[in-house]
Amino acid sequence: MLTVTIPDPRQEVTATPDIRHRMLRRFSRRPINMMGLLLIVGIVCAGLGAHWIAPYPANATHFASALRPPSWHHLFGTDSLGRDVLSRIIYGTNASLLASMGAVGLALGAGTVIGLAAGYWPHSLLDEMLMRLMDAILVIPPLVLALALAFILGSGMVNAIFAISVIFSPQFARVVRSKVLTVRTLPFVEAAQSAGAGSMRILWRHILPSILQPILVLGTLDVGSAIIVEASLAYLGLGLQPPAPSWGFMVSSNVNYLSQAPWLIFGPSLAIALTVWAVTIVGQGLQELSS
Amino acid sequence: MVQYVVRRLLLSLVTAWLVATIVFSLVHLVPGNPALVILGVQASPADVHRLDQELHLNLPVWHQYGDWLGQLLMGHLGTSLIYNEPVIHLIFQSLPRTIELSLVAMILSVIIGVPVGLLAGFHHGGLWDRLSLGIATLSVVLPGFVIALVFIYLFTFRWHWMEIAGIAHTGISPWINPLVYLVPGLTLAIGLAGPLMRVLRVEVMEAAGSDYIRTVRMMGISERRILWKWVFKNALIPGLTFLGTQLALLMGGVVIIEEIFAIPGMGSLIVTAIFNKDYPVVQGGILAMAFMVIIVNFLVDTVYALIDPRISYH
Repeated sequence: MLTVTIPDPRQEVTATPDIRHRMLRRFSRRPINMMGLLLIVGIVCAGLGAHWIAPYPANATHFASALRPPSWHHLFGTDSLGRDVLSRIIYGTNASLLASMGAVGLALGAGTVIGLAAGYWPHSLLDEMLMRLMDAILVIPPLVLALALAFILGSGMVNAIFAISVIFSPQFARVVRSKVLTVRTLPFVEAAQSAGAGSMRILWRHILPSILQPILVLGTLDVGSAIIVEASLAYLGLGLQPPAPSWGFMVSSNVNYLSQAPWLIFGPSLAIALTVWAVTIVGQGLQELSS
Repeated sequence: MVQYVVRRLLLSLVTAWLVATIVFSLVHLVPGNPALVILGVQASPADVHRLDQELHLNLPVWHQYGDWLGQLLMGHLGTSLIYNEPVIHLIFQSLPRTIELSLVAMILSVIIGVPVGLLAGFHHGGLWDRLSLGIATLSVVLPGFVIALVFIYLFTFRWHWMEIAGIAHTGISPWINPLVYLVPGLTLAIGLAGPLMRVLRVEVMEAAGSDYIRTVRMMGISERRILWKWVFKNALIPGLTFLGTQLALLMGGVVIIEEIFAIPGMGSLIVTAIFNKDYPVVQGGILAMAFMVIIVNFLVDTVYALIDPRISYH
């Protein structure tokens, strides 16, 4: 078949090839990336629309049908109070996503600020102090630190987000610092410096945009780990206050029924695994693009 | 070389001091009077006052900090508020269990991770590669507690090979039933082996494509010998170093695994202390675990510098 390509007049105007568009196409060409992306969209929609999607209310107890195995009425069975496990998983999505994304967002923000400062003035006292502090956080077992912080600050979403963000910050600080070290000697930064731009302006307007991509990729990958940490905190009872459904706590509160009703841990575990898998796949896809 | 080791040692000491500072400030993050938080709101003012005195909470913060660091240097970590025993004793009771469990986990992760990782790198794209990707994916997407519960379900309820209560209640020695350590160890090992395989895989692929391997190959040495003598050997060092750097993560995993399998180690000690508001034990426990990580990191760096002469001493 003969195809005639007619030059698009709009492309003449924007002479530079649209890299972003091309990268998006490369990302979407791999089916596994799209599967991950679709799964994330699905999970987010399920969480947001929990009220309409979930077949039963999250806390509706029905003692007559307690500990039922999976069936068409209750796809993931019912727990010891007769609550529908699938509905609770759907309602629990919000808590898990909000906590993990909030924590990574906070860690990304704090880590970036620390990394920018440390990398722009390398080997200064500020750099040494900040980076040694990051080292110190990294040698404390992460779950232990998050656990202690979450308990001391008290239960609740905001405190959990803060506790989790502390253990994810050093990674961002280190990556940002190393990126800044390479970028700060590039001609465009030197040009801005010789044009008399202040440090803040250079960091914010010139350096930050050029290092944003790898940080966002790292952030995406970290959301997966943050979901696991959040679930582990919830498992140990340091998450949302029950009876609010959360995946980790749904597992731990049903441990005693493990021999009679193993399906009780299957549903929430599957929810955790699928979400983390989807986030990780998309993160890896983005990482491939940026490298 | 000596200079490098001395520098690493100094850095480790600075890190240790900062960890101590973070651990000290943890308790002071408590909103309001820590003594009141520990005792509960119904506590009488006299009790609060007594605890204030006992924990020196009535002194200015910098004074408390100085005292605390001083005590720490002498090896005093305070007294447990619940057990009324020196924190250091509690740590020495719990630490061996955690070290044993971590060692079992490390050894199992090497047994699983090294062969699969090396084979995956050598036959990349093949069956072993898929297997390593599968295990690595599982280790990333499943929280440790889920893997632990699956094992408990299988080993305890399906096959009846071990007691769920673990060594805390039954007092079963690992020599009588090694499963009490092997199953929790395997749980932790899966989390470690996954990333280890991926690291080894990349290292083998890199080593196999390098110039010196091409040179040996041109000399007519058999593929099998090349693999064992050069490729695997060169891939193993980064792999094992990677394992060393994962210790902090492993220690974090230990916390929840010890809880689930009822192993009376550091993890159980700290978690119980956190829920009991036994702050001296929380502080001492976190410090002990972090110091262990610092020491192992230092040893790994030193050994790495000894093995690999290319490492820069700056």
